[in-house]
Amino acid sequence: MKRITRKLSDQELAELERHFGSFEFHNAFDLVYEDQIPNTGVIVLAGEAVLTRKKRIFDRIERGTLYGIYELLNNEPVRHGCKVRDNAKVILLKKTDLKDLSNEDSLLSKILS
Amino acid sequence: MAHPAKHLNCENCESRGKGIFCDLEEHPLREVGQHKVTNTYKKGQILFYQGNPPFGLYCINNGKIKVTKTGTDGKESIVRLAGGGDVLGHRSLFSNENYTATATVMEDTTVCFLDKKYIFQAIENEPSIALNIIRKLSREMGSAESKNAAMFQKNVRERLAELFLSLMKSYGVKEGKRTRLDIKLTREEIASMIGTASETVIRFITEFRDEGLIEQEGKTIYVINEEKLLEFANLNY
Repeated sequence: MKRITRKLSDQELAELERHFGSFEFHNAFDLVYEDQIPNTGVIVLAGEAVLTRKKRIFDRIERGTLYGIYELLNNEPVRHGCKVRDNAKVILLKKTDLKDLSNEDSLLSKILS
Repeated sequence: MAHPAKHLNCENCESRGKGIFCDLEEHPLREVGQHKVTNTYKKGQILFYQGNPPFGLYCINNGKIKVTKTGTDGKESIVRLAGGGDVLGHRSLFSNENYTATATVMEDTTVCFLDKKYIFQAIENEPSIALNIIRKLSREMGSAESKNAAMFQKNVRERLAELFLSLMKSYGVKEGKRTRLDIKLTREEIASMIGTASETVIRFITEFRDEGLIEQEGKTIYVINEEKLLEFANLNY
């Protein structure tokens, strides 16, 4: 899988949320620490998630931007950590989901390819 | 900073004999290896937070993790210590509840993460995984029941002696005639584990030292008289 840098449309996000569900984090949480292989890929739906490096906020992850999927599938560490803020709503793409999708010829696999 | 661990094969995992995948043959074990994410976490890093939703299972390869609950008054108490071969996050994952505790790394710890979907698939294909999870849950429930009973039936001295014996069993390293407890806990953490104040813990540690049960070198505790510690723990009722 290639790195995906484009932002997903609302329609694509709705399709992904319908398929994978979403998670709301009540407490701010480091989903991935820097230089770590992500446990899941992340797509922000609402609220805030930020990129971190050496405990500093580096950038904000915008709604619809994919984070960590390439690294998850290739067992590679991310350069920046990902911290979700209180009450952020995200889609978490797990390794098994992505492996299953790669065998499918669906709209979802097209969105993520 | 966390680090990706050097890719660990499940077949050669040092905790293989103790984990939930211990009964798997080579092929299904390799399958587990393809779905896991392995990282080494540094002291103070968090695996999961109380109140957040679960999305997978954490299998500890080596290291130490404390599981804490924060009360409504903001006070944190250690409910469990976990190490190599232990699994974390399973209770919330299977009960479909948010985490009821926070898992914090106490020293460099290598952890394999497996996502929820894969765990459920694996259990369907390999019932031995479910059996091993049930065994772990049963042991944890037994330990929680004993701890709960001890809070009512035992005094602080007995609870502290019992805690040292339990730490000795899990983290004891024999060094000549004494046993070093290979885990660094603050007095506050010890106090939270036995439900008392840190001042009381300090007082009883001094008493245990004066009675020749333990020795201290800096923050390290050595058990030097296990028999007497057993007497102090009053494990007979």
